[in-house]
Amino acid sequence: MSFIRPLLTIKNAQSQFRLISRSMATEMSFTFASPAQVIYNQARNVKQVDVPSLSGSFGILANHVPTLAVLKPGIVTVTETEGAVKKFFVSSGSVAVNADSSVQVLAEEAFPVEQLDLKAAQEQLAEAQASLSSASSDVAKAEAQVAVETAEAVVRAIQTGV
Amino acid sequence: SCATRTLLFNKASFKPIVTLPAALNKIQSASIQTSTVRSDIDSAAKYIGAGAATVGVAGAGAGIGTVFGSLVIGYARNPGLKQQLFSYAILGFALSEAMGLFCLMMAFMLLFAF
Repeated sequence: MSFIRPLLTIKNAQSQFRLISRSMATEMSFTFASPAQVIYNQARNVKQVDVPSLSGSFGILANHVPTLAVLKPGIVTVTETEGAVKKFFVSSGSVAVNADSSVQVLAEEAFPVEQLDLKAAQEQLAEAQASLSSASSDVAKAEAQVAVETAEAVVRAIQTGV
Repeated sequence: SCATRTLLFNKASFKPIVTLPAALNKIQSASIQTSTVRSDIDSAAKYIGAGAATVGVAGAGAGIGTVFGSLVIGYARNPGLKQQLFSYAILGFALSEAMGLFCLMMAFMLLFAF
């Protein structure tokens, strides 16, 4: 009697699985945008995207398992099918991978790493650290902490490219 | 020969066909064997010890399987870290293999050194 119920649940899962049709040969359709600009719009020439998320950085290829993740300040690395590798710094945002291999990376702020200025980034880091040490309330402290982490990520992105 | 068989079994029911001098009574236990009983037990213990010691290499097998299994999972999650992940995997493999070799070293020492 106890081994009949698992067989019933397996049958239900199989019938549900048939409703979600999923072809294994789809290419990735990549959308990467911020409120200021659209960098990729349903591009089909992207092979791999590495995103920094709160649960660790991971790489997305075609037919990735559907995922939702929140971005951390860091670098999004886009590898195109011709071989070009482009790096963009993102401050925060979200990434969604759907079952039809469409990927949407929606960033709060996104800039190519070449456009970042090291001196300005280090000045901003010093400012953020000063505001963290002089913060009074918990809210101000949390906001300053976010600014410090983002500024540190910018400096690290320029210096090491990670 | 008949005389040897008589000395070995030493039963009262056997009638000795040939009687040997009394001086030979002391060596009746050594008539077939070419080496003494003591060194044979040493060899047997060595073989058994070496065989038991080699079982420890199974731990190295489990460790190496775990390391490369984790490499596969890590690479599946982030293919961009291929080179660094593989370096760590080779390091872990080497250390795990070292433990297996310690075990094998002990087995060989039991076989040949002690």
